[in-house]
Amino acid sequence: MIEVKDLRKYFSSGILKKQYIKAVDGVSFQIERGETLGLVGESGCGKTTVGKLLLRLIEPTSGKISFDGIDLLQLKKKELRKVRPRMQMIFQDPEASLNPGMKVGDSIAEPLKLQGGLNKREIKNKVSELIETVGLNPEHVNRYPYQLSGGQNQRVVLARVLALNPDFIVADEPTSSLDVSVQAQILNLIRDLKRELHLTLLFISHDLEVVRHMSDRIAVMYHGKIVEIGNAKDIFNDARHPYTNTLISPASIVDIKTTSDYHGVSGCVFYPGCPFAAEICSKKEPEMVEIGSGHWVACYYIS
Amino acid sequence: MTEIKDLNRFWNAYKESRLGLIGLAILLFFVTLAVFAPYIAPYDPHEMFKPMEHPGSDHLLGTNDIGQDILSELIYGARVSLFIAFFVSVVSGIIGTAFGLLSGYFEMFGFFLMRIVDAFLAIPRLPLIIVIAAFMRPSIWNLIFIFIILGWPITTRIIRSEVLSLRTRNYVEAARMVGAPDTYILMKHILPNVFPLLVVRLIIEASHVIIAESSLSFLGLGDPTAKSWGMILHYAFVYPTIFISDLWMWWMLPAGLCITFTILSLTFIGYALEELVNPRLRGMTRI
Repeated sequence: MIEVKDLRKYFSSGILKKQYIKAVDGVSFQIERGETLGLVGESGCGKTTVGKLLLRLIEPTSGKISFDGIDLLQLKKKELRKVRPRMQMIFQDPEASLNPGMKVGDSIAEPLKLQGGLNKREIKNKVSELIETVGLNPEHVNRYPYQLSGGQNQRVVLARVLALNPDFIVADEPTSSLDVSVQAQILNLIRDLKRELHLTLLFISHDLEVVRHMSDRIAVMYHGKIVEIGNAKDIFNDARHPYTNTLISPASIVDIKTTSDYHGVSGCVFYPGCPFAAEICSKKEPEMVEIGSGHWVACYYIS
Repeated sequence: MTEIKDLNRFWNAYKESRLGLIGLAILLFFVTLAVFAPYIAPYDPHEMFKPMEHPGSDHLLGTNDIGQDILSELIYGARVSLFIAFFVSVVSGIIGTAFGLLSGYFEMFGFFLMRIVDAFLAIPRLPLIIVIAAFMRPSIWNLIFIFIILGWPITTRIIRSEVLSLRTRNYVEAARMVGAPDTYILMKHILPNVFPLLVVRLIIEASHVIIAESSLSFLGLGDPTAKSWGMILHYAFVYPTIFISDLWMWWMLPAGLCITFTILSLTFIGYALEELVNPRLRGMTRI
């Protein structure tokens, strides 16, 4: 369904002396149809950037993205607009994803109106249908986002996203701005809908427990690179990369030295903070190695 | 229905600001004068009576050097000043908003337009206005033209900076993902959200224009036939004995007060609206 190859995004700043921030630095993965891939990593590691790149909300520096056989990066603006409805994104802050001046019902109806082909009554029916699917009450339609709670707003966002029957959804920390009590409800709703509607999901989060709950496979990201990827089970029971281990049981290993000038490092991205760092780690970047079925790790330590 | 409710909500919030209410009351007073001038003014401002009469029952503020009733001049003067202010701020607001939206949304266009705006902003405003006004035939429409030319770059810059922030909001990205074209995003998602900022900007622009128009007229660069407050000041100021007699008290002072209070009212309204737009300022300008 989704195939990403060597995706890179460098942000540059400065006019005379360009400085680059490698937000995403050579990321490759695949997502099968109907599968949920969880993407974990600390904040600032490039998770969200990967999500936005997949939907071409920002343009990558280099790399290849294919979506259902379509080479996304080759598409012209017009062609892209035709493909876009099939891929959607759920953002972290539900209230920010809704226009504050628009009634919630209008926000849900917007995608339907833009796609055309439905008359007013059909749109209205479809909106009520969607409202019900995500577990809202019909009277919520006439409210504004500021009049609803975070959880309710996230349901609205879901309804809006589902309006166009997408195949692929990027969920970027959809629950991290919500109350703990509401988080589980929204997560279960996403999971149920995914099953019911046969969606393909990229689930981004910094919370490993949440990702475990949601995902079939998990990719662990550190400083713009994927360091380990595999089935959820393998990642939790048989984590190989030292960084994955610190994520799973933070207490077990000495604290990571967070450095800001890792950009100059030529070897492994995790080298400055790694407790097992050897000489080679600082010199050459480790390749991804398959150590089990579909379980890939980029680390010298495992071999 | 909801529009009325929105207005109600807005009014309830606006009411909180005492400054805003005072400003609104003063402005309404002048607007009433301007709109109903023919009914309120005792005489036609161009009609001539005995010159240089002191205030009395016939002429509450006396007459000027060619015998025109000063009170009537003042009342009609509200028309000129407010009309120019309103017209300029609306037209330069429209131009500035259009360019601001486009330059904030389309990077290349924005980059080039901003260099032009830079050029405009680098020029000191009032001296340039004086120079241009001196070379053009003095008329109200020429003044309006000059003010618009000089007013839009500021609005453009302000709107652009807001658009730059708005266009990265999630709801704009969400709209793009459901296939919304650029024009739709600009009109539906960005324009309504720059509107509050725009209103504040227009009010401030209006007060600038009133000051500029009065200054030009005072310097004799305004429309000599228009009955504006600045023009009254100008004719009074060039009258030989204006300051060694009591003349200034009814000839100059009222016109000066009119200008002052109109600008004060606009400034107060601007403060109140700014507080609404930016709640962080709330309470900082309260009296």
